[in-house]
Amino acid sequence: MVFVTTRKNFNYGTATYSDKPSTYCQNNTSASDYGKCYNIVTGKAIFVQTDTTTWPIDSSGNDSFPCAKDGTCTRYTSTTSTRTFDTIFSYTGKQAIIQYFWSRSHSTLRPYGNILYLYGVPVPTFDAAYIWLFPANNYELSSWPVYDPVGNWKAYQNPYTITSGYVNILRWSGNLFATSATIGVYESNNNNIWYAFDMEVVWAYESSPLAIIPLDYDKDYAPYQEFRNTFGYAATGIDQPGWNYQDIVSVLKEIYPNRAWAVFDDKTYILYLYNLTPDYVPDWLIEKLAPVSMKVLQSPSDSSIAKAWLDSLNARNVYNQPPAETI
Amino acid sequence: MSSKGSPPSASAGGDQGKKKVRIRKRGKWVEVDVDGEIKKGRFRYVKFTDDDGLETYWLSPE
Repeated sequence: MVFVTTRKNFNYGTATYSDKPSTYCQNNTSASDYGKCYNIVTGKAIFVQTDTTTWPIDSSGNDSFPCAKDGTCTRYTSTTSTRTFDTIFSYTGKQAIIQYFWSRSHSTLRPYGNILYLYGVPVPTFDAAYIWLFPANNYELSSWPVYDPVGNWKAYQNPYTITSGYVNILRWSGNLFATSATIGVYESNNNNIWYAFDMEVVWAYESSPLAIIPLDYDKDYAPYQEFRNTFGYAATGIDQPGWNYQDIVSVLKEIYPNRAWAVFDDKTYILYLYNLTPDYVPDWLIEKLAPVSMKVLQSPSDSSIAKAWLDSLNARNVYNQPPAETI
Repeated sequence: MSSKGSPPSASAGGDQGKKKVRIRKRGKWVEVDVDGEIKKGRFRYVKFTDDDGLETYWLSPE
């Protein structure tokens, strides 16, 4: 399968693009500014405060807790072991590979785990439902100044100036296979805590479906470029990890109404043929895709169109063809 | 296509004289009137007209 790489940022009070966020909240109950959060860059910080008698939430959902009231935090009124936030990705019947992430947290909590874990990671040595991606519990426990643990960009990362709490930076790159990944924060059932974090995740995922068309056939480069631009845009779209086959069929009909092409839907394993019949589909392609079904969207009005597709495909994939047989 | 079911009966309906084959489609057994059969590589496909009106080749159940 073809894989494409994409990236996404998550910002909870701090932001990945900020080289010196100084987000923090006040959780000293004796302080006059208790419950306030400061220097929010993007999104909201997280504050866990279960006392709804002192800081009630009215029937309309108006929260009287200071930072919730002024919109700088999301307040949670119950404690939990691990709090789950965004879904980074979740694919059905599709494989993804986490390739990189960079995360940074500001917190009153002493860093214990980290803010990303994966469900369904097929690591044979772990039989738990999830694993902490990161390494030692107290990895890069902050003492001032805090450095990027790999880049060690001292000059770049030095200017942290939060007045209380810890800064924790994690950077990881590698290959982890998963069909879904979630951001979770290990809170260990603590109350009266705050944290803010940002994260950038890069992952690759199976592209779906697959358009099978020799693009520069007959040196027709203008639609070729249009096609590439269209699909390039699609591939980088976070919320459209793959087009469905109808999308690609529609685009191809628009751009190449008089040419032969095929679209393979790798969810249903159906190979759609346009200006083609199975006679023109080479066996090596069938062996490669193993389609459950082939559907003829349009029969070739002119067999030379279908033949041109086959010849061009074969010319580009000579290594896929069986050796000539001895007569 | 003549009928749907799990599994379908093997006789009633459909064009007279056409071979009937049961295929598994989206988790269900479906009986189809076959118009022909082709072989591609290691695979054998039966030809019929699907519900969507398209000329369709489905992996032969055998």
